[in-house]
Amino acid sequence: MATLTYKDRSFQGQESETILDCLIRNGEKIPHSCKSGICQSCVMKTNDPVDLVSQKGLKPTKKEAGLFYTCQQSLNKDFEVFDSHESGPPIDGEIISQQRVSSSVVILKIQLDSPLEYKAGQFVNVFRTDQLCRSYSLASVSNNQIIELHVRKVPEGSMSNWLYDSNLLGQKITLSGPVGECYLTQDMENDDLLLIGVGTGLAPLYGIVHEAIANGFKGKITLFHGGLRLESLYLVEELKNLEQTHSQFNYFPVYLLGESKEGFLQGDLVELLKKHEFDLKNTTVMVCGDPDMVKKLKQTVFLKGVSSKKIFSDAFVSNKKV
Amino acid sequence: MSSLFENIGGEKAVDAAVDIFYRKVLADDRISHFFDDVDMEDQIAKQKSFLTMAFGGPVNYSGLNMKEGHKHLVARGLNDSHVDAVIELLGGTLKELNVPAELISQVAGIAESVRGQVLGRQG
Ligand SMILES: Cc1cc2nc3c(=O)[nH]c(=O)nc-3n(C[C@H](O)[C@H](O)[C@H](O)COP(=O)(O)OP(=O)(O)OC[C@H]3O[C@@H](n4cnc5c(N)ncnc54)[C@H](O)[C@@H]3O)c2cc1C
Ligand code: FES
Repeated sequence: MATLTYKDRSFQGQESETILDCLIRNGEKIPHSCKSGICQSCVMKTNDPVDLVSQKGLKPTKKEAGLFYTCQQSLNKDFEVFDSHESGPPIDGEIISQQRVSSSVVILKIQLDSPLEYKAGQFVNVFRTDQLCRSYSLASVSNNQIIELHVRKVPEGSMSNWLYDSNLLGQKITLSGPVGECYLTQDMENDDLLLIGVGTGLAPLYGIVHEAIANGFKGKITLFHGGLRLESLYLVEELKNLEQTHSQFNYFPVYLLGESKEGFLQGDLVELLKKHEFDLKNTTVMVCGDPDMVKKLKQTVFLKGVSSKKIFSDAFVSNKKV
Repeated sequence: MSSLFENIGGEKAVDAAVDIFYRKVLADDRISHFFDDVDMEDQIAKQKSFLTMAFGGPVNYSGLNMKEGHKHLVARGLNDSHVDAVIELLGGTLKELNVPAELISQVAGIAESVRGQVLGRQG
């Protein structure tokens, strides 16, 4: 059996165990959330060779520095691992606003003790004082010490129920990041944007819409926001107002179930997108939210003819329950 | 003498072919179900290494990987008819990119040569 060394301690690995699981089993407090190689909260450092999957999506400089996802690396040989602190020092903040905008979505505003540099569309890893960690997308535009998160309460979800149900005004909270590759870059300057958010998948796109407009983005910006029911949609008024005042911006709120209502589209988001006409060559597409929907929607726009290089996404993967 | 990979256009050709090829695969009822449950970025990366290999380019996996990599698909019923379909779509892709017939048949030949490994018949 393989041996894992960490801080001068050695652990014996078990059959098909990951490095993260082995550390946790032995009582080490290692941050982690998605266990899918996405959130980067579990990243550590090693000088030993790692499998391709455990560095997938990391920047080349980080790969060279030996950073890797402990949740993806199986303990298939001996390893020595070190803390990395690579995503920057943790940042403390305080919840200054907690607005329940629907029966399941809460918008949180967090005042940070120090500025966080990020691009709209990236996400942060949020830590509760007991070290429970989850990823949430930044819905705010950078250059501000107040960040905004949109959290949807999922059935029996530990973090999301706490964030929605408890009275958290004044609550101290810690975060790390930013992480993620779904944001505006210079290559997109001459494109149109097609943004598709499902549920709180609106959050990163809401930030991107505002950042694009603020930065004088020239192209058309089209936002589809899909929810199960009319009540699942939120920030509808704000987005309709933005549409009124900015001719480049088009907003389509869509819900699946219930009576039809003026000003909204009722139906299956995937089917609506199949019919939606846009410039296939010169559009950057971003899709965020529920992983299954993200996969279907990406495939739909790809099959329509959008280049795979112009399709970006954040799938809100939740951690796999054991 | 320049290699098949160079003649076809190297990495640029792979880049040009990958979207067209993967779109064909996803739209083909005979085989699309084998590719449906994998994330698009992962799939694109896999298709790229497949195309690089078929174009006679530098390969980053061995025959054993080939066998291992398709084991779960063979368990789900992957057989000769599906390999036929992939080789057909590969040919269609290259035709669309105006690759000469002579090169297309060389590519088909390489793809053909790994059939046994993909289907787990040989190591
Ligand atoms: C890159 C990234 C960005 C994210 N951004 C956001 C964001 O901006 N807003 C946001 O609300 N969430 C976001 N998430 C999801 C978030 O990180 C958590 O997974 C989510 O809040 C659930 O955490 P929890 O602790 O409440 O539930 P957990 O305690 O982790 O899960 C409890 C149970 O609920 C199930 N479950 C989890 N999600 C769902 C769901 N959607 N529907 C039904 N059941 C579910 C789980 O499988 C589990 O059985 C993001 C995730 C990633 C990876
Ligand atoms: S990347 Fe390992 S827990 Fe998210």
